Amino acid sequence: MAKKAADIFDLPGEAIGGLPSLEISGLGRIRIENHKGLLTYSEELVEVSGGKAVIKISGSSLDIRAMTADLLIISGEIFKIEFIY
Amino acid sequence: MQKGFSIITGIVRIRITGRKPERALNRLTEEDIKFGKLKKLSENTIELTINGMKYPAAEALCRSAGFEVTLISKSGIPFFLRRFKKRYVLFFAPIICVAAAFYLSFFIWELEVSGNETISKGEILAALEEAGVGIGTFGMGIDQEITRSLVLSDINKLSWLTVNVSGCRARVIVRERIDRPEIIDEGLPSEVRSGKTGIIEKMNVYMGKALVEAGDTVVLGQTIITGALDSRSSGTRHVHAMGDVYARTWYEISASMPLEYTAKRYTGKNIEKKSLIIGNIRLNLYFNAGISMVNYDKITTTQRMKIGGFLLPVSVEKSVYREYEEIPCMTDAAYAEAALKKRLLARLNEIIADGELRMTRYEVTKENGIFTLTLSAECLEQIGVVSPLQIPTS
Repeated sequence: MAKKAADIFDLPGEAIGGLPSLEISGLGRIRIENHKGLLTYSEELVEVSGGKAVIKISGSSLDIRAMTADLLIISGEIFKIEFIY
Repeated sequence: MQKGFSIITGIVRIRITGRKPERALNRLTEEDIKFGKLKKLSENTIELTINGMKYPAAEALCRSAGFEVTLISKSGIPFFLRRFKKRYVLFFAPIICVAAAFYLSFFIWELEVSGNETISKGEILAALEEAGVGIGTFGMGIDQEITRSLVLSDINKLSWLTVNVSGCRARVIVRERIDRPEIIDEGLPSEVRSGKTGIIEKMNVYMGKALVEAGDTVVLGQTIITGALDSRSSGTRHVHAMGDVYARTWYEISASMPLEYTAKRYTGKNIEKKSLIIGNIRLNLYFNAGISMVNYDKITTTQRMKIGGFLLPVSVEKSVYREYEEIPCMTDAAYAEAALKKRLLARLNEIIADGELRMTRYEVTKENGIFTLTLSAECLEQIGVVSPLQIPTS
């Protein structure tokens, strides 16, 4: 519903329905807003719930730098980001 | 900044064990409990660092979710201070010290005196003590007006005094009285009389008429320069007679001294007693106050304690009692003569003041163990004394 509304009004999904927002900077830092919780954490794999999808981040030396109810910052050597619906 | 804040609030490192420990992280973030230095040790174990103040809440939260929480380490000021929780003396001693220092800072522990030239500091301090201002006096209780009036009435030579209290130091500033010069009333009829008996050598008459001349002998109280001037046209005129009259005077003064005297010989037996003086309170650091010696000298030294340049209200008083025995001795005649000569000359100089000593002669006599020295001296001195003129009423 939120995704549809965002598509109709051509607005960012996170602004309307609390959809997750991903921001990658410098290839080694991912900032995830509006996440729904951490599912898995290890130095090689971090899985974050994004509501309807799971954001799967693979890499090495992954580290959770900060985590609040809305924001998650992961740093490390990132190899792959997948969205699993 | 964050690190400094963590030190103030304290930080703890905990280990969370349980199935899917990520759930515990989610629970913590839901409750707005921030964590850091996350490390996954195994599939079911993670370690993280949280704020020390949030530890009880985090522990309760994780345990309610079925996790086991282990405290690994704790650091920061709250945990450091908690170590002293049951060490009451250590906890209260600094508080008592600070309170004592604060309380004692209201009292005077140092007195500085300035502005005195001829009056000794000891005399001023003694007068202040009499007026209730001394070491250990409550600084805020000093009444400037009362202190000033009491001290000024006690020491007549003082014209002004103030006591400035700054913390535990009192600065006493004084001003000494300047004697008013003698004012000569030149309108008052007077005459110059002889203050001593002698032979006049020279005279300087500034006003009036000389009744004697150089070479004349004058006796004590004799009029030398009169202020009553006779005039053929207007009868007797009275003036303020002035003049310097220098005359040769003679003195004969004696001083005696017994040749046999009693001297002290220290036996070497000393008793030392110490006292601790805190403000006005004296604590004797000895038990037996009595002195078993018959003849003794007591030498007391007081040492004020200080830290750096700051004087403390604590002094250590040391009294040394030195035993001596009395032994008869004979004075050397030469020594006696020299001592008496010095004494006689000092006395003569006091008598003639600014006068000139022209000739001296000494005569020694010894009788019944008494050594007597007689000084005969000839001097030149100003003997004129201005006195009010007695005007006969007609």
